[in-house]
This record gives sequence, structure tokens and C-alpha cells, in this order.
Amino acid sequence: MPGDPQGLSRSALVLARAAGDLADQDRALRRGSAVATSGWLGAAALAFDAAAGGHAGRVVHAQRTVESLGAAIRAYSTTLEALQRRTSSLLGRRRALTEELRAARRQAAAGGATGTTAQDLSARIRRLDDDLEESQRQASAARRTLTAALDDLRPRPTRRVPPRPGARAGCTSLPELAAGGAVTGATAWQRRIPTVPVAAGRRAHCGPVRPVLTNPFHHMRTGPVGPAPDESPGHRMQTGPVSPAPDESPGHRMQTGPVGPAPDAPGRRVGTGPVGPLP
Amino acid sequence: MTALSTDPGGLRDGARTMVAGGGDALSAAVVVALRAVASAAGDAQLAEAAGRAADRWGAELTELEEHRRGFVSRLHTAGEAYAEAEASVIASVRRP
Repeated sequence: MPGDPQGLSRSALVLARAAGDLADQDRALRRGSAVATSGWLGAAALAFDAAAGGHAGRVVHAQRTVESLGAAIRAYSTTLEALQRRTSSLLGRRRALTEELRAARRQAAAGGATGTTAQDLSARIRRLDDDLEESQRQASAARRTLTAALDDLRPRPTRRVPPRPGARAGCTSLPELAAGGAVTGATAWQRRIPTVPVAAGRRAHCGPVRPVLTNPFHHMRTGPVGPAPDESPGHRMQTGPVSPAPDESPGHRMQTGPVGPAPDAPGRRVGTGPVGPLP
Repeated sequence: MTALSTDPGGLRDGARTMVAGGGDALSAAVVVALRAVASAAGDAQLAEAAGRAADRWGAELTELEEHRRGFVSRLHTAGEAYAEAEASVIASVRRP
């Protein structure tokens, strides 16, 4: 059975080390980028961050894939070594049985009664041949598996995002943000989300957005909401759990989320879901 | 977002940290290992697949290394440029 398991094992070890080096590179890249961009704001910082994020995604993919290649080669090497040992042992036994069979046939030809022994030896040789064939099948299957792994474990294809018409430096669209960066859709890059001032709520702006809380009770609401005491009606949709507003009359609206007992009927009921006006 | 608030030292520290990741001979080591697989495979198809993988990964790791050097170089350049700009502004406001 051809192949050099020791040589394959050495290659697998080199690939495992290379995967470790790529992991070190990824860590250094992330640490370096974090150190560099912690006090760096503006279009250049955003562009650098996005490009470095895309590069880090490729490095991580390379690290995992090279590691998988090493593991596949190591697995093939182990299988090949075991099958070579088994094949060698089977061939040795077959040679011995063939010698015995020849001797038995010589003895039979000389007039000795060894017919049963010759038949038995022939059957044992056939079983060994079957075992040898099975070993060859296993070796072929292992070779096919490794061939497929070598062809399938590829580098990540680079995806280039065409520049948006009229794009300004420093602006990142929401789909690009959702995809993980402005340059490539690679690993999400850790970067602080800047706080958007409350006054910015009425303006279009670039970059990630924080929810703007204007409810005086600091609660978020779900669904259409009535006028809050200090807001003009109907200007915004809010999300989150609902708490009864003490200064609003019940029954004028549908509420979602947990509802506690009404203040004027303690303990009479606990309602869930939409509630109507209390009697 | 055009505001600029930059620490030139931080940029140069970042570049140094990236360099510390090493990996200069990575591409060559992987190519040699995969070529060794091709010669140790004992099967023509497997050897061809290992050869293709060696070409593919050699190119990818070389490109990754070039990109890494590019990031380091750009960080260093940015650090130098911001430091020069800062020094120039400080010198100009100190002039009578």
C-alpha cells in the first residue's frame, strides 16, 4: 500500500503550527487595531477599521481552514499507517499459509491423506484475500476523503463592494453596518458605538444609532401610544414593556405586555393581553 | 464625521503591536508542507489535489502577509503624519 505516513504526519504538524501562527497574527491585528483606533476619530479611522475588520475575517478563515487541512492530513496519515500495518500482517500470514498449502499438496501428491487440510488452507487464504481487499477499499476511501478536503478547504473568496454613487467618506449605510463593515462583509469589528445626542433625533446622520429616550418615565412602549403629558401626540412609535401611566384614563387605547391590577380594584383581577375599560 | 481627535503615539503603538504577530515565513512553510503531502501521498490524484492546495494557499497567505504589512505601514505613516501636523500647529501658535 503506497504512501508515507511519517511524511504526512510531519506535514500535518507544520500546518497545525501555521494555524497557530495565524491565530497569533489575528490576535496581534485586533490588539493593534484597538490600540491604534482608541483615540482616532474621523473618516480615516472608520475606513481603516472597516478594512482591518475585513482582513481579520480572512485571517480567521485561513487559520480555521489551515487547521482543518492539518487535521485531515493527520487523520489520513493515521489511517494509512494502520492499514499499511494490517496489510503487511495479512500478507505475511498469506505467505505462510501459501507455503503450508504447497507442502500439503506435495504431501497429498506423495500419497498422504491431506485433502481436508488443503481445502481448509485454501479457505483461509481466500478469507485473507477478502481482508486485503477490504483494506484496499478503506485506503481508497480515505484517499478520496483527503482529496476532497484538499480541494474543498479553500481560502475565503474576496468580495469587493462597489462604491456607492455619491458616497461621502465616513458615512456607512445601515445594510453595510449589518453586514459587518463598509469594505467587506467580514467579521464584525469591535468598535465603540458613538452616543448620538438627543437633538440629533430629527436629523439624518451617518453611522450607528442609539434609541432616543424622551419618555419622562424612562419606559419604552409598544404600539401606537397616546399623548404623553409633555409631548405632542402621535409623533413617534415606541417599543418595550408597558407600564400604566397614572395620569391617563383607562380604556382609550390597547396595551400589550403584562398588566397589573387596576389601582381602584385591588386584587379583583390580573389581566393579560389587551384590556378594555374597567367597570 | 469630520472631527479629528488623534493620538499619534497610539497609532505607532498599534503598528508595533501588529508587527509582533509575526508570520513572515508562514506562506512558505505551508507551501512546503503541502508539497510534501503531494510527494508522500502515494496516489496521483491525491498528489495533484495537494499541489493545487499548495498553489492556492501559497497565494492566499502571501496576500494576507502583504495586507498585514500594508496595515502596519499605514498606521505608522498616519502616526507620523498626525505627529508632524500636531508639531506644526504647536509651533505656529507659539510664534509671536
